[in-house]
Amino acid sequence: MMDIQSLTKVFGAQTVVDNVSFTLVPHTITALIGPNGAGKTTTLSMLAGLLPPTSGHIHVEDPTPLQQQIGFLPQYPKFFEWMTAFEYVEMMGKLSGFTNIEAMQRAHEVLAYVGLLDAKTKRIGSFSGGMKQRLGIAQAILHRPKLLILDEPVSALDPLGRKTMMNLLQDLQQTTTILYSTHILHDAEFLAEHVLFMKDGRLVEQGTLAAVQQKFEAPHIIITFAQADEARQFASQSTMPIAVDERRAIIDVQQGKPTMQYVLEHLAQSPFDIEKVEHARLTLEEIFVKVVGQDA
Amino acid sequence: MRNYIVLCQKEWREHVRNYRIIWLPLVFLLLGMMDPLTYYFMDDILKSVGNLPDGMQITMPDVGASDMIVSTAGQLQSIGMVIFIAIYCSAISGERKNGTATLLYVRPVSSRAIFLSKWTVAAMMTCVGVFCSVLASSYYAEVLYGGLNWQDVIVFYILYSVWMLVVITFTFAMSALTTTAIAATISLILFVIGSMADALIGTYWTYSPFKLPSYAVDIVRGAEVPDALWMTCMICIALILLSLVLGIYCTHKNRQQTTV
Repeated sequence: MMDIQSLTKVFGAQTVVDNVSFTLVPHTITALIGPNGAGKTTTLSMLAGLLPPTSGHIHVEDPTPLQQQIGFLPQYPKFFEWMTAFEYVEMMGKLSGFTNIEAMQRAHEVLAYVGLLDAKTKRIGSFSGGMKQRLGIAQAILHRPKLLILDEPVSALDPLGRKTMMNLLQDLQQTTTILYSTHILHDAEFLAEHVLFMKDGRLVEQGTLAAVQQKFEAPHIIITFAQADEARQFASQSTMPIAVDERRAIIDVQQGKPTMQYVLEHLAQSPFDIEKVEHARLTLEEIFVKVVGQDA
Repeated sequence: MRNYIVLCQKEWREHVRNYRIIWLPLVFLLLGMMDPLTYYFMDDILKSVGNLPDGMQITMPDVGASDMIVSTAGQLQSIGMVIFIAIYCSAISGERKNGTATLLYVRPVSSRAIFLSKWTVAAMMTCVGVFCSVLASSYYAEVLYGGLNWQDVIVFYILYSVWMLVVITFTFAMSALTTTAIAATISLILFVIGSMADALIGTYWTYSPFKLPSYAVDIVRGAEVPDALWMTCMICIALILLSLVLGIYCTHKNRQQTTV
């Protein structure tokens, strides 16, 4: 869908985005993750065509103008507050090349889609933060873009607004490619298939969520027993180095040993009630701290 | 072209929603009627205010209808100009600063359409404002003093509107070039101070855009049409065009300064 090569942005003496390369896969959600000041907004602004890159290329397969293909939602979208929601979306539709009738119909459609149809004749100035964010989504998807670029779409919302927004994004994924930045890792873990970790302007880690998780997978095998003393008994009988935490026996894996097979065979002969055996996985949050560093 | 019209509608709607289409003509009507009325009733005003020492004699100058237009031109040159600069100094820079322009800039909308749509509506408001002042002033001048040459008034109105268009177009260009505060400062200094300077030491030159208002006043006074008038007009129109080009260029160049 979109291929980004060596994207760099320099402001004065400061390199805000440093040699960033990645590819967006069609119909996937990609999360751009990084601490504040990592260069996420600058990167997204360049992709949206608001900022010219200092160097590097943004390659798109489709030859139609980029502005027709991209829907953009800034972190704090600002609207003409004296307009009503409907007037605003309708105007944006006309500016995107719809005929008057098309613009009107499409404005209805998108406002209904984001759940603002009841408020369509209200002035935007009277909208709450969540409503404005939804209006922002409405104007971003208005012209049926192939790529949606969203800058921190959920960060400023309350839990309910966040839930609504995430459902919208999941639904939109069926028709578009989505790239969004966030520092709320729980949401990224829930939504994104691909993750890009950014720190100090550089991409420090990228790939599918599963691949990144696997890469940082902690070398542990965790066995959860039905009862706590079963875990203790198992640990005392075993020759493996085992730490016990309540009902969980945590086996340290060093240089690939013991293997999962070995542990399972061992368990198969034991009389204990086993609930779960798993490779320990770091949450995205733990990976984030690892990748981005202690200061994050 | 279509985007230009759509954006003009948006500008017009904004002028309606913030009541500018009501208060701006009202302010300029007041500005226009102020001078003829105060001149005419000056005697009564002085009497009712009182506090004049006994035996003091004031001779009122013998004024006619055309003097009222001249005096209103003075009001427009100071208060009127400041009002227009104050309203339109944030035209381009304001939307850039508050971030409302961002969502326009990510759409296939040309900088030319953005700049010209705003300028068109502003130019219209300027002509309406000046018209209100001239209308109010000449109406009271005719009623109270009589004997106004309407043809001269119309010529005065046209010339003065051209001058005011120079002011707002330049203000627009500055707004596109820099921030609101700097645009306002530059425009105020250039036009308010510039007009004063031209009035003080302007006898040394004949071609200057600052002279258009005074040539317009000459015409209303019934003086001979100055030879330099046409050249001055041409300079003013050239300035308007130049400011438009500069404004469009700067709007485009400064797109990236929009708040994201």
